[in-house]
Amino acid sequence: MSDLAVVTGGARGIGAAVAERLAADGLAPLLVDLDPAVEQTAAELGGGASAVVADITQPAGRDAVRAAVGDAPLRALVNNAGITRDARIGKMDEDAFRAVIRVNLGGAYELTRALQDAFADGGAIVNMSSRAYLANIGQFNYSASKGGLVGLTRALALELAPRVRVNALAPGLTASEMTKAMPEKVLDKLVASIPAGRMAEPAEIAETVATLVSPATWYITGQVVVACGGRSLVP
Amino acid sequence: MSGLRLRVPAGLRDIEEALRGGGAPAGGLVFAADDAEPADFGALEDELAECFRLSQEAAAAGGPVVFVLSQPDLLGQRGALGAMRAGAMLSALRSLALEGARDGLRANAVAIGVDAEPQRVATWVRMLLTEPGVSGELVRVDAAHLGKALA
Repeated sequence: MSDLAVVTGGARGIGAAVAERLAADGLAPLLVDLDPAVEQTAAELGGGASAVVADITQPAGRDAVRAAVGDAPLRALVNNAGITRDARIGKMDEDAFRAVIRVNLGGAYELTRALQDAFADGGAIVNMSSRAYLANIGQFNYSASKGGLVGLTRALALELAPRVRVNALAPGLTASEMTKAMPEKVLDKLVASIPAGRMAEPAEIAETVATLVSPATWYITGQVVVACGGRSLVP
Repeated sequence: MSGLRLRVPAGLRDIEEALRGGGAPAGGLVFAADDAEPADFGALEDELAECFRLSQEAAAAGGPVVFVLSQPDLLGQRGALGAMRAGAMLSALRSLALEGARDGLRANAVAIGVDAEPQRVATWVRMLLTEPGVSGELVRVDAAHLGKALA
């Protein structure tokens, strides 16, 4: 029985790249997503990959993920599922605030609790925060959700030590369907502000996740890795 | 006290009294996180939504805004739900500061340790409400954070 790696938001983008990268390390990815396309993503990965179509903000969705894990040793949980509902605070409505908090933060918290008893000794959790946890215009809600994940990371690192390590990864602008949908001028301006000179590729973010999951980084827990190409330093 | 909105839970009323006693600032928002850990995620979401609503009102009025947080929660020392609340509020506060900077809106936070004196906390809250030129900052009123992770 292969060790499992549960990856939420696994249908595409960073989540799919993380699943592929962890599979290369010998883990069996269990991809979770609200989008049924996650089944196709898992099928294309092949090997021991599997998928669950589930809404992790709902108890039934979390139960489905827990049932899919079964008795397999859980080596990794990557809380990657997330949404945006951007607006300046004056134009943001409470539904948009609550939706982002519920999915990005509540989904991670509740699913982690649901899977807590399934972790193998030496397991690892990676919470996908964002550079926006340091602040971003038009993202009072998203920034709050990602800062909340940093808090969750610290608390769980203390609570679950020494059996399970917990870290957060805070990517900057990453090539995705969301960035593809942005106006070219806006995207160009954002990219110009990144010292690395380009967006991150999902595979690069996945590589950092694999590093944090690896037993080679066993002594790292409760930390935030900011992978933003230097963007958090520029004026 | 006409323009100052004080959202202070029962466990932190000493701070509210100290703030009123020292001559409260004319306007703005002081939002202190509940002293106790939220009962569940639903309670946390409700508290964060209240923080959002009051911050939105304060931003519309031009601020300033001060959040009062728990220093142990910022380090995750009291449990997951409290840590999520503190982390979420600090990040939201920083985004509010960034978004409002052009319009002169200031937003800052005070983190209080277990032994922080109410009068001292009130002094820093008052200063952050009234003194210009500082925004997006976290002032920690105790020494328990020294040598620990940066928030």
